[in-house]
Amino acid sequence: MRTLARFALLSCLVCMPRISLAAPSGKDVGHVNDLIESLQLTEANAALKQLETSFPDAAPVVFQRALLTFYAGDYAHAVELADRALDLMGESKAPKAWQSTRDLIASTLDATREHKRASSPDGRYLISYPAGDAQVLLPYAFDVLTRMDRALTSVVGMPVPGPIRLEIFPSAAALAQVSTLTLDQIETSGTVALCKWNRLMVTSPRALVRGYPWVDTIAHELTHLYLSFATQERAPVWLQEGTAKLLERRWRSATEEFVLDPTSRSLLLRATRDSKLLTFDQLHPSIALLPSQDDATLAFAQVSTFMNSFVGAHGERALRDALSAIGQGVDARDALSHAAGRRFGELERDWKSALPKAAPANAPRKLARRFSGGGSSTPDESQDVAVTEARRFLRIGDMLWNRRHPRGAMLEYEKAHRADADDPIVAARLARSALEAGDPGRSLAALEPLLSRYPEHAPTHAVRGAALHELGRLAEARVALLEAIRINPFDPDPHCRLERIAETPEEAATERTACDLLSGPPGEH
Amino acid sequence: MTELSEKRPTLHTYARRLSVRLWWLHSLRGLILASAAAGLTVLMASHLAEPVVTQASALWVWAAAALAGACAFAWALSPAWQLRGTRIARVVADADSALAERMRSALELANDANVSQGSSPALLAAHLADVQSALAALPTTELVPWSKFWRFSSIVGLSALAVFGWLSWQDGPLHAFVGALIAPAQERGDGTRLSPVIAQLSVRLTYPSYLAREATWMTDPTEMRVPAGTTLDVHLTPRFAAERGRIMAGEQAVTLSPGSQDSALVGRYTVQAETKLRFEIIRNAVHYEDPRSLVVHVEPDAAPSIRIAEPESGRLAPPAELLNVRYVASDDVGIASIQLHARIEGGAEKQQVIFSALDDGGPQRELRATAPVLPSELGANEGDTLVLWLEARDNDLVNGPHVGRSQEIVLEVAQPGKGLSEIIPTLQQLADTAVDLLGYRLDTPVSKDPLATKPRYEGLQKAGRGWLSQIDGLLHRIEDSSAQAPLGVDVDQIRGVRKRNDKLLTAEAGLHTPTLRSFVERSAADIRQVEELERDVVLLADMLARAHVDEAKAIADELRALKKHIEDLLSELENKPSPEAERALMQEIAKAQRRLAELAQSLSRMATRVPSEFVNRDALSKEAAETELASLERAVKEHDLRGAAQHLDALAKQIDDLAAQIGQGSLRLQESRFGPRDQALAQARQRLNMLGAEQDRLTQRSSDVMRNALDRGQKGTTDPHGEGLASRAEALGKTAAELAQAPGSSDQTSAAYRATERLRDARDALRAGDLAQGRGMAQSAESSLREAAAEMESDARVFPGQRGETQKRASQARQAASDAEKLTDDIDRAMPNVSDHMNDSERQRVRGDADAQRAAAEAADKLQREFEHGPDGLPLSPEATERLDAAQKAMQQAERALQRGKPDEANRAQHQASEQLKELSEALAEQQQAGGRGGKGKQEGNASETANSHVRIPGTEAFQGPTELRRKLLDAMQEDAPSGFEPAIKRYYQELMR
Repeated sequence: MRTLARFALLSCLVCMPRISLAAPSGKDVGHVNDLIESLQLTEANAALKQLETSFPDAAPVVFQRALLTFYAGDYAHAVELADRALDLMGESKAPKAWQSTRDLIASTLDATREHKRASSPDGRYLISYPAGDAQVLLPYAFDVLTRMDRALTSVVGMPVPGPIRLEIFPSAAALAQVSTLTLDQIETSGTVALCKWNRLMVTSPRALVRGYPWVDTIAHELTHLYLSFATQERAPVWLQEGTAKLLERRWRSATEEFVLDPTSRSLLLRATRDSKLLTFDQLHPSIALLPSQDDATLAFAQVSTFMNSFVGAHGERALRDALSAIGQGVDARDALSHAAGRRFGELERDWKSALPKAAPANAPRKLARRFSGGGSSTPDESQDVAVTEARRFLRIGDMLWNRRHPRGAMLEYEKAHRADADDPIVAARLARSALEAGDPGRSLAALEPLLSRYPEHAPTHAVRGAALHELGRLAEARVALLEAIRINPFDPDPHCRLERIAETPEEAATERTACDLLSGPPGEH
Repeated sequence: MTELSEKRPTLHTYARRLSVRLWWLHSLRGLILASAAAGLTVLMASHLAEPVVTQASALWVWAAAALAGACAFAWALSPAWQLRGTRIARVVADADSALAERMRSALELANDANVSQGSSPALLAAHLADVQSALAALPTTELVPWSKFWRFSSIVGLSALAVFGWLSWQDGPLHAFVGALIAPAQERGDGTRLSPVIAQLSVRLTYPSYLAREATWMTDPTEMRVPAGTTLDVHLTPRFAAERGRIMAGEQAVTLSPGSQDSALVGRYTVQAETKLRFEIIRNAVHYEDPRSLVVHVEPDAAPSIRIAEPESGRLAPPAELLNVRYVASDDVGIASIQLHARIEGGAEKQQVIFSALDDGGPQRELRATAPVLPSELGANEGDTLVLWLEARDNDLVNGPHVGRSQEIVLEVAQPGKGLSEIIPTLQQLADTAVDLLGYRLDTPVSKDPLATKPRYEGLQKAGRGWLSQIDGLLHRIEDSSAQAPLGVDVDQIRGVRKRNDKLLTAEAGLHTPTLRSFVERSAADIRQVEELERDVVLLADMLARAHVDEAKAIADELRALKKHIEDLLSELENKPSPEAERALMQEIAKAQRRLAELAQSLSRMATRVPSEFVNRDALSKEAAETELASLERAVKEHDLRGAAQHLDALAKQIDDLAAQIGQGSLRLQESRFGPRDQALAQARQRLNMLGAEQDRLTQRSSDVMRNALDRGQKGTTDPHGEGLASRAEALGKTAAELAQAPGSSDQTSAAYRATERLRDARDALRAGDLAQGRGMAQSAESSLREAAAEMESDARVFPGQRGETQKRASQARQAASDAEKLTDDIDRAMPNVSDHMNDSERQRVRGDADAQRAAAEAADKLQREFEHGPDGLPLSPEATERLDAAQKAMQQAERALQRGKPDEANRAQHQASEQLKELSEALAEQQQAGGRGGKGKQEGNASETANSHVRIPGTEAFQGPTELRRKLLDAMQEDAPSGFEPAIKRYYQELMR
């Protein structure tokens, strides 16, 4: 988009002498454009107002106003202004980038037209979300935005101007509609969220078969917003992603340690061993454009461990200084070097030397992010069970489960579990049936070994939480159930159980609402 | 004194009270008399004047009445007038005349100072006090009681008043007169007086006869709604006697004449159009018009309403099955007849009367009935689109008849289940029961406790046997020619499932009865059952998924064909617009709508049965296609052919997408679930064919040896039995020919025909002295006759025919088969002992072949195991396992015969083994052709053709060419085949000859 906007600006400047003698100077328009793109929207607005006083009907000025309005989230007005700019310029003379920007704004308007909107009491956070059960996301989303906003203000040293806008989209296709990524690129790379144009865009976890850590993802995207603002959109992708990944769990607590998930760790180790680490330049312009989900995971692992190594060695102050320097136009590598007092090559060597050298023998498999297609059918993750024998017994178990033979299903799932003890899907179903058959201990035993290996598998957390709840271990159950909701908030069971063990009446009310909404009318589930 | 004066009224007070009381009494009487006098005056006036007076006359009457009243009142007050002043004391005289005098004097003394002048005031006061005292003892109520009102005059007055009132109420003329006095009649220019002069208006409605409705009465109607032609008999009762009257309807006037019985005036008016009737009466040449009127509305005769309640449009109508058309018709007049109209695409319209008032109890205002219709009688055949509608005619003889038409319903003439498989729900039930059986076993583990064992065992046996019965039911349905098994349903595998479970259940039963066996044994049996059921539930689920997907695919394919047809019809309509072309297009659109509905049903059925990885249900939205189809229909109706073409393009894309999605799903499912099995089956078939070729080679080798030995044995000798055997073969051939020509199913006649051919060959071979060939042909004939007999017996159970003809033919066939067997045995006996005529080389060859035969038997054993255990643990083909077992036994028998140097015995067994292998190979090939894994069902790419479709059996004339061909083939068979290809070529010839 940055390139797109620059191209639009360039086209604007080239066309300007031919537009009218009463036109603003290209420098002034370019300055406004730079301010908008670097998220200095207040300054951009002031500069634009000056231009508008002198050139109210100049197409480039109107177009910049459209862009600024788009960044402010008023899509309908932005489309009108863009249309006006195109009219003023004349359809044939207008730069193509103007038209494509206008189309993007229009498709964003279309995609959000039916959305509902919610605001935090202080108005700092605005959430736009699709009508329906997506409203269960709201309390968690507001919570993470508030906590992360606070945490990032501390790290970066200043808050971003509000309001902070979060948009939730129901499907990958909808995310593609409001971004410059294609659906294919999104599905290939497993992209679920973006931070662009002064807003956070997140795919609903409903759109993925297993959900995804959507709460951490919101925190991740908010970090991008902070970094864009702090560096005036000058931070390179690897720095952005590395820092965002490093800090994405900081909302949980200020001391939350960066932990690389086992799958990423395994990929990183393998790439190190095989000398197949990606270069920082390969990550440009976006990790979402990498050819596979594995590459994207590896990229995140690399940059996050690099930034972790940097912050670990030189502290958050060095990071803050580096960001500030980048914002002033210093190259990111130089900024980091300067802040750390070491050359960048040395920083890179430090990082590589800190990486473990050998991959663990039993690396967990990667559970690919699979989009469910946005339909109403129940997502089925059985096909992700890798071992044929396990898949066969899982299928028999499913048939028994569906015919309400929980004990029989449990015995079949056990056979599947014996065939592949490292499969979280099998383990979760075994645990679920054991729980239903009245054996929470067995349920827990099936899940515990896989918990740390597959931390993003929502059913593992949900069933574990339920088993702990049944066993009366309420504090642990609470943690597990919340974790399940942070990955798949559309499973009613964690909400319904949390309602029963809520710590405050407000929490109980929130969970009851979610439980009722997701459980549907009696008899439906 | 003071107290007394307070209690006693003063003289003046007393006199005033007395006077007031007197005046009241007379005034009351005066009022009554005045009213009576006025009433009498009005009464007299009513006799003198017209019954309804005008305003001027009324004033005169009022004046006269008032005068009479005033006189009477004055007369009544006159006694009171005479007792004014001191004369009031006279009233006391009736009670006490002295006191009356004293009272008068006292009053005079008190009133007139001149009279009392000179009198002593004390004396006067004493006199006054005395009078007052006396009067105090005489209350005024006693002197003038209210009862004094009842004097003669009062009674007369009241009576007169009552009479007048009663007359005014009861006497019509007087009532009218009084009414007119209160509200005098207005007088129009023509002298007609407007006043309510009608006491009652009654109308009798007589409906037109075609309505067959009873006449009705209406009293004092103001408005009525009647059919045109209704006669109104008006009975009008005036308030006073009238000479005649009139009904006025606009310009028209109908005379009302006095009725025969009462004072009513009677007239008749026939309703033709909407009107407002007014009524007038005439008396003494004075016209009186009543303000009331009667508005008459004419009910328009509506066309009958008729609606077909059943069947709904889009239903299937089997051609030879009665279709009940349920309809609801109504008409205000009455339905005279209902006709059913039927139209078939490209055919003439047909009509059929389904209700006639003449035959069915007269016209009906409302009719709910059902008419049975046979589509074939309407000329509809399988595949036609039948359009039905009803027309109802009413019984309106005045303006009608009117015709009402029902909606058109479009029916597809086809057998039910054309689109959706009937087998799938049963298969689904079977699969579910299998899961439940497995679930029950796993939910209730084997117990060591004998008491707990029994209920578990009994429950499982009962459920298991029930499930086996379900399987039997499904197999019977599939074997029944009317039921079409979907592609994925593998009959062979289902039979295998049944057999294995039967065996396991039986074995398990043996562990429980008569004595309970050990826990270990029972657990082991349970584990075997669980393993078997695990395999079965997966197999059935896969089969079901495949059936679902294939069903959807077949419908989608049919939709594509319909789409093409719609394209053609639209193009035709564009080029040559006509109502017929439009109708044909609409019918095809309706058909496509039905297919879409079926597809929706099919997709819904597969919703929980086909894993999402095989069919992306989100992509299978038929709503878009439905919308386009509806838009297309609308566009055609609106003659917007351009729009229709656009919608068709969009529809075509939707249907293609749908078909492609389902097709891809089907392929994915096939590859995923059946790929390894199919691959294993193909490999096993390949090995089976190789084994068959080897067995054929060995059979041929022993045949050669046997033939050479027989040649040698028969050389130089004439066969004494040959001609006799040939005659028997010929006679038997004739019997077979008769059986072949008898009516019956194609399969029977085909088997009998084959027997005829073989027996002819046997006859020829025997005549030529080739006993070996003759024996082989006789044996084949025997086999064919047994086949024909079995089929005829089966048929005879269902269709015994007249006087049990089918059964008789079956007996004949059975007898013929028995005769063919005897013939074979006799040929055997007639043949020389082969072993005696073999040379050393042949003996060596025979023994050498024993090793090859053993190797073949071992290969068959290995192959049998392959068929028994597929990649998923299930048999590749249970049938193959059984047949290979039989072939292997025959091979072993042949091997033993070869070892003993008996090529003829070996040859028989080898021949049997070859046949088994060949039949198995053919069966497997058929299974794969039919649907991959043994299902009988629709052929890919042509949904309308089925494997079970009947084949016309050619008559004798049709075999002229083939007979010549057979001869040529028999000649060609005698030529030597290239080495190594003998068995294959032999089989080739056999196939050709069949």
